[in-house]
Amino acid sequence: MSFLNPLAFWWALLILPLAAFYFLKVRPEKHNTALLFLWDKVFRERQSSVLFKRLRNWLSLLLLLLAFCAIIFALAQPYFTGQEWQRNFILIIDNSASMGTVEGKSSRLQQAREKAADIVRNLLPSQRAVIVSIAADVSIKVGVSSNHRELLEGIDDVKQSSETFNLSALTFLKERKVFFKNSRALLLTDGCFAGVKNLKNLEIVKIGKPGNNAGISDFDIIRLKDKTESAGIFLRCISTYKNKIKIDAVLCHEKRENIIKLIPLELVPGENKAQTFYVENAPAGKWILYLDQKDALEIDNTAYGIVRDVPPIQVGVSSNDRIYNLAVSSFSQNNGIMTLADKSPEVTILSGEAKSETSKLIILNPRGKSIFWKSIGKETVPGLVKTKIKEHPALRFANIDMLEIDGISDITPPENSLIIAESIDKKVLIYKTIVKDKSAYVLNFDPLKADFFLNVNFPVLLCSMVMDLVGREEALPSVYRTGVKVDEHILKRVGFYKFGDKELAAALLSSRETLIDNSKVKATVKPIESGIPLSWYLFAFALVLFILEEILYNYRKVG
Amino acid sequence: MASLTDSQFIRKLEMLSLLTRKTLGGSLKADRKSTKKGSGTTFADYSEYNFGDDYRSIDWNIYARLENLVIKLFELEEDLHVYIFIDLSPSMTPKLEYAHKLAAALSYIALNNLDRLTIYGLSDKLHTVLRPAHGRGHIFPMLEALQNSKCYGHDTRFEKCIKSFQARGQRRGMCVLISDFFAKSGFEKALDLLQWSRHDVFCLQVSDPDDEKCEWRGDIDFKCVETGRLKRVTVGPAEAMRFAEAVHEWQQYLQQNCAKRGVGLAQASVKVPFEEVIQNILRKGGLVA
Repeated sequence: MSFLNPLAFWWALLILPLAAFYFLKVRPEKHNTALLFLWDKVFRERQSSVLFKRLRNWLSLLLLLLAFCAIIFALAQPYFTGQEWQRNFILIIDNSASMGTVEGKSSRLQQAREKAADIVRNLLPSQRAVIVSIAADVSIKVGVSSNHRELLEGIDDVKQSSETFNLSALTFLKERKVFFKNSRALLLTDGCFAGVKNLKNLEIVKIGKPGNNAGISDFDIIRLKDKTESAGIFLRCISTYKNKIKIDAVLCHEKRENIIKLIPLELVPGENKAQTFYVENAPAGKWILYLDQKDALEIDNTAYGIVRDVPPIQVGVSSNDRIYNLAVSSFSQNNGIMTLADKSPEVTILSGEAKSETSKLIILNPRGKSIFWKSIGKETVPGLVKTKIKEHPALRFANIDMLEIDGISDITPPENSLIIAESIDKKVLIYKTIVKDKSAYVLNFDPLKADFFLNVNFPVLLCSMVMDLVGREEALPSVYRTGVKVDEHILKRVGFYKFGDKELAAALLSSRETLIDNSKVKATVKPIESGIPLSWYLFAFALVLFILEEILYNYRKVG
Repeated sequence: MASLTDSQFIRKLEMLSLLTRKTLGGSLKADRKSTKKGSGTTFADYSEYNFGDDYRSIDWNIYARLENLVIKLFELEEDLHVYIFIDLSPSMTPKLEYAHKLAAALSYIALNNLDRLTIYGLSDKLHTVLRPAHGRGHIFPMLEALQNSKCYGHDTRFEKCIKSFQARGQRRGMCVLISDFFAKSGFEKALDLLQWSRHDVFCLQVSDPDDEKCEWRGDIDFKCVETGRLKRVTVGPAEAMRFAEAVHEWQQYLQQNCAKRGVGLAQASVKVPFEEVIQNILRKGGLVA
């Protein structure tokens, strides 16, 4: 055992004056009496009692000195040397959605905060700690500090988030060199995330215990084109109840009071089968689906979605080959991104010569003269595609790398053209160009050759190009998961968002967060000094002794 | 301390003396007939003349008729001996003034009635406060003697003092004991001795209500005012109650003991004016049991 503040032992010099003062204080009052023989009668006591009375003052003094010594020891701040817990700590508090699980009167996050606060309170002045919260992202609440108050405030600052746990976020800590020398990294978590067993260099402080929860793990709501004003709902639930339960899913439009449909569900323990439902006469706008029940985790009981009425892009096809019509039609039937236009198309797909009044063109197998290329030569040998800009919107969903194509010509694109793909022998294959307020994608190959048109990437490529030309991004999903970044905005909470003209919905939709049963998660934390510091125990002991002494003193003085 | 010789106090004594006459209805001297035959005025009996008898008492008329010398016997009228024992042990210090007043009142009445009065102080030994005195002329000396009497000694030893009193061969009379009767060695044997000597005994207990309860609490060093003995005790409510009970028991024992012996007992609290105490005693028929 060692002491952090050995100077406190100088207080021991006060013991002698304290003892002297004590004896002055407890000196009995003197009174004369003529009836001492009657007092003798009153106090016919047993010998043991007399002995106790004789020793009582000394016992009382002993208690007082013991209490005084306990206080001196407490002030000297004793600690045990050579223990593991003397190292510095990185306290990573999981504040993901599942930490909002309520157990009794407190949530798992509150338990984690209390545990972290216990550890901090027990830190020696020479020990330092870092307070970090983690969910979808990592947030350093307090940098390296030995200031207990600052650390405790940092712990209080860890708020419940609606995001899922993102294990890869821990790499951020490594990048920031938060794992400083001689430190222990403790992850205070309920372990409701994937990869909990593979954590290295992290000690898991397990928080929480299994509870009963039923939640929505997958949800989607989309406009169905084949039925007028109807919507389809995709729903998958998870239950941690031990038995089968029956609950109602309530579907509302715009607000919870506006109930559209009541869906009775029978949930089995674990992950349930996905279910689909149809809602007729479903107007566009905000939709809410919630499970009508109370359980340990509330956030996963509700899912939010938006049904959008987006008109399809009018695409004209100027070619006798039906492959282009089929490509456009395939997107017309499924989600209505684009449709074949009879007149005034927004985009025209053409093959061969580029003769069209449309300002947005997709030209395949280019031939003849055009403003969209400087020159064009004869066909060359087939080649393999090599994309130059993989992140380009035109290639967002199409993977055409190393596909064999034919019908390639020696083409010279206009200046300022953006070459997206080339052949292995450096022939320009796909480029985008803007000439005289006209924009066009030029695909320098014949899709009919080498059976490229049979490849699934062909219609996808065309669709991406159409969307890019009209400036329409990919079709917005009806619902996002929390923690996702959309247009520089992170969807941190569940519910609806509005960024400019764009309306979004976010819900938890995480099977790992909903599966709050963490019985298989094992705590890997090594012994740590937590709870009430030794000094506090000494103070409490001194207090008890003072109370005992006061009782004795009171008995002597008051009787 | 108020003087026993000041005019106001003496006026009170005079009033009590008048009350005595009114209450008893005549001179105390006439009430105290002696069984001895002597030279009084009331005829008692005849007796044959023997050599040495006072020939002045020969009834010459009888001799003329019967030719026998007989002498007339008369009832002897004696003065009453009143012995007042005042407790002068240190335990009486707070009650001494009150005891002085009671003793002064009784002594005044006795002297006023031409009784022979002696005042003794009681403590660990007998002390004469006033030598035998008779007549009204001794009232002031009596008061002065009482005034000058102080507490002495280191214990209350009733028996020893009474034995000492008996050793002085005092004539029988009325003994009045003024004390708090709080004596570890007891008072019973003293009363026995006085009764064996055929004295009329009357006890006047002077009590102080403050003595009878204990207001102190906690650790206390009690010091006996007489012996100087120390005792450290812890007094709580229970102990204080037991002490009050002990005082009560002691007083009950005194009452029962006096009643059993036929000894008169009056209790006088220092909170009650002394003249009230004397008046009560007199109304109840004087110092008789």
